[in-house]
Amino acid sequence: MSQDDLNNVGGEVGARGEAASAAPDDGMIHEWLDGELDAATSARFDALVQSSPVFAARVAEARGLVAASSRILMSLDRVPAGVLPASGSVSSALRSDVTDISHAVLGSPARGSRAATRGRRWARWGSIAAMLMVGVTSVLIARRKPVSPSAIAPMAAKSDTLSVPAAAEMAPATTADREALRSDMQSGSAGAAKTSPAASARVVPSPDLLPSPVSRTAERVAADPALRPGLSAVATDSAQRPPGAAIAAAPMLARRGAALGFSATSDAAGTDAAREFTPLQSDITRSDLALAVQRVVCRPNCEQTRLEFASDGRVRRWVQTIGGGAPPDTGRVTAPELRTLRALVDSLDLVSLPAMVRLDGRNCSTVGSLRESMRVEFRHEGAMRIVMGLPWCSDGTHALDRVANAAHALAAQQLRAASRR
Amino acid sequence: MEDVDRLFRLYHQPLVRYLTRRLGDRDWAEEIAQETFLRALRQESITSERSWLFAVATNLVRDDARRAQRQRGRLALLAAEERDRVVEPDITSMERDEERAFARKAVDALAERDRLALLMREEGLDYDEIAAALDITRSSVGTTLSRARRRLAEHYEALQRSAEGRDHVAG
Repeated sequence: MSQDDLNNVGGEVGARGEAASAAPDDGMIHEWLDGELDAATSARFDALVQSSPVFAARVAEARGLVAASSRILMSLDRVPAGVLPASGSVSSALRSDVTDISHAVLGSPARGSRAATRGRRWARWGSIAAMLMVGVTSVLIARRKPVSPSAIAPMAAKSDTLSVPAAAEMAPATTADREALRSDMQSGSAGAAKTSPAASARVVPSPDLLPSPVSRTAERVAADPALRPGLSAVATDSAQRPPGAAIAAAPMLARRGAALGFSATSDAAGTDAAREFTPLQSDITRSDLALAVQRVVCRPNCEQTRLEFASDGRVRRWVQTIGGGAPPDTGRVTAPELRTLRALVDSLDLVSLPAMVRLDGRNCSTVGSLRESMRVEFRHEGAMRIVMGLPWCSDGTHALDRVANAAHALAAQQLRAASRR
Repeated sequence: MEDVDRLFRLYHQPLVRYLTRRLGDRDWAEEIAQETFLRALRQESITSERSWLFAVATNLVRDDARRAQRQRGRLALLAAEERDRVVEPDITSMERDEERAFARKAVDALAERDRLALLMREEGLDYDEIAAALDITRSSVGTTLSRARRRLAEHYEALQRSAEGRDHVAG
């Protein structure tokens, strides 16, 4: 770019009362990029960009700033409306346990619309199921130690790395496997009867506090590696079907049970998990489970629900809505929820919990209607923390699939690591 | 103003988005937008309708903010008491939340005029409209936007670097 060229364009600036001798200033470059310059001046800019690398670099930088600022501003658009957090204490919740239990038995008093109540119920049981799946799986894995190498050999042989074995790498499922699983999940007690006595002893929570068919199936699955290929295929089927089809194809219980099937997680997810996997310190006790936070996020056109459960004096529930709909609802965690949480805490062998499991958006991006990335993290940062960000729309079970898969991915790593030792 | 239906259809969405980005509160943004259109309804005629709407909305935000400032002082005291009483859980680790928080901080760090010009430009207002809405000269809009974009990006990146540094230390 010659000085004359610069000055010619600079003359445009000068004509507007600014420094005439300077090269086009940043304001003018932005004006050009925004299409606000007249045709003649724009043509000069075009020519300058072509002829001057220095000027072209300035323009490129300005373009970057325009794009970056747009991107940054767009991230502000996810602002929820109608957020009314409410908090209460566990102690106050305990004081009203009797009331809550009576509500649980006789039916809870209506709070908000029927749709809101239904949403809460979904979110509540979905969240509990997710926590249980993660917890139970971890318990089972922990109690499998020491692990017989022969028991792990089929899985270890499938993958020499720490990444999660892809579904395709697993042995094909037989129809009989799937039917047996479905039958087991639907019959519950029958499934338990098939479980080995040793495996039965592993279930710590009282059966009446847990969705028994699911937990027993989890137990059976964890106890019997031979079942995994079949379950893997079930889960893979579920993940590959369109979400609507998945919902229509099987009852909820079966889908949740299928969520206990493994290995639908991508290799990338497994790699992430492997990288971030660190066992907790052995001095972690049950009291370290001071906080269990569960966040259930629903988008786009349904209730956005945020739940938090805490065992150290804070129990909250926020129900948010996006763009109207059901009114904000605040409420205390119910007695059944508290009991389930306590049962979960009692059942957790915290030493067995991974320090961190992370799933990023990539894992959810392939699953139909899921709009939100899901992340599960177990962290030890002075206090134990569990965060679950679950998409919870019409097809929330897929999110549960992912939670269960994540839990199993880590469990599989532990097994493989144990086998190497 | 008989044409308010058309105005609403054309400008309600961008106006609410502009206000939401400005305020970080969609409920508040909706309220301000409604009030803006109510005022448009009372006007006999509007020239440069888009810049008029955005200017009125911006002024309403200012008025609202002044009113809210007195209340915020008291709320801040209450919030401080609450923080002393309750240890807040370290909740969110979702990157999206973090990005939004960074973006909010970066936007809030801008000078008011830079921020408004940028937000209006993002909603498609041209330089003449921005100049009219903000009562500035047209020739200064480009400079204002250039400065706003650069500072926004710099603030945002600084926040990101700071967070990465914290993570690194924690890790």
